[in-house]
Amino acid sequence: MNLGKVVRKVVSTIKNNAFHARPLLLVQPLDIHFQPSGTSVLCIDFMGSDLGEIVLMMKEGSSVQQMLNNKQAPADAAIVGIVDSVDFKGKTIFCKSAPADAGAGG
Amino acid sequence: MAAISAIPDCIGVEILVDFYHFRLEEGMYLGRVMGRVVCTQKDPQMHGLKMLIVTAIDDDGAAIGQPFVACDSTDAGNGETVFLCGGSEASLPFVKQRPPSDATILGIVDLIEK
Repeated sequence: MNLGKVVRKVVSTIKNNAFHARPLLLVQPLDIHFQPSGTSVLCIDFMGSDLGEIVLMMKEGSSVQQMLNNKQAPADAAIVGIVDSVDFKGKTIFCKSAPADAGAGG
Repeated sequence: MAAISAIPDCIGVEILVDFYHFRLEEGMYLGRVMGRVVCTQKDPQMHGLKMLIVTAIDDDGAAIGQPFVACDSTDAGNGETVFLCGGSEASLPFVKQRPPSDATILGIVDLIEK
């Protein structure tokens, strides 16, 4: 599993039945310093994540099929969690309740 | 490494190899726990599971590639050397649940002898 940031929402009408009523999101994988790493991945969203959120993305076909209750589902990436906080080497490097780059909000 | 060089040279595959370069070779591997991730909103099958940030390590304990998130079936702690498995087997070690996972800690390493 990897950390990722939701960068796009994707809407598709004509698609495989396995994807019915499941949102598709484009997720940019992040490294441990929250910098983009590699190309973005199209994931099925099971969590109701929003644009810009830091999520946990899982790239394993049979686990996605199990979550969809469909052994024939042609999918291999899913969002399985919305990240609240990340501790790395004893320091909290990410906390959702106190976003570092939120800017000056009202 | 033989498996990696056999893959034809194109941009997409190159990135994939870079991202997963230690996992392309099948089998279990060693890693070191570097931190943890907390999610309130997660798949119901993942309730009560610890999710840890792990870096894969080589024979001498040097980190390989980028750290990633793994489910923990052993109650491993920060800084400990562990061994993991990937693939669909990663959701099997848990007794009562089948979490969607692509990397799971299977054991804590006490000693690596040279």
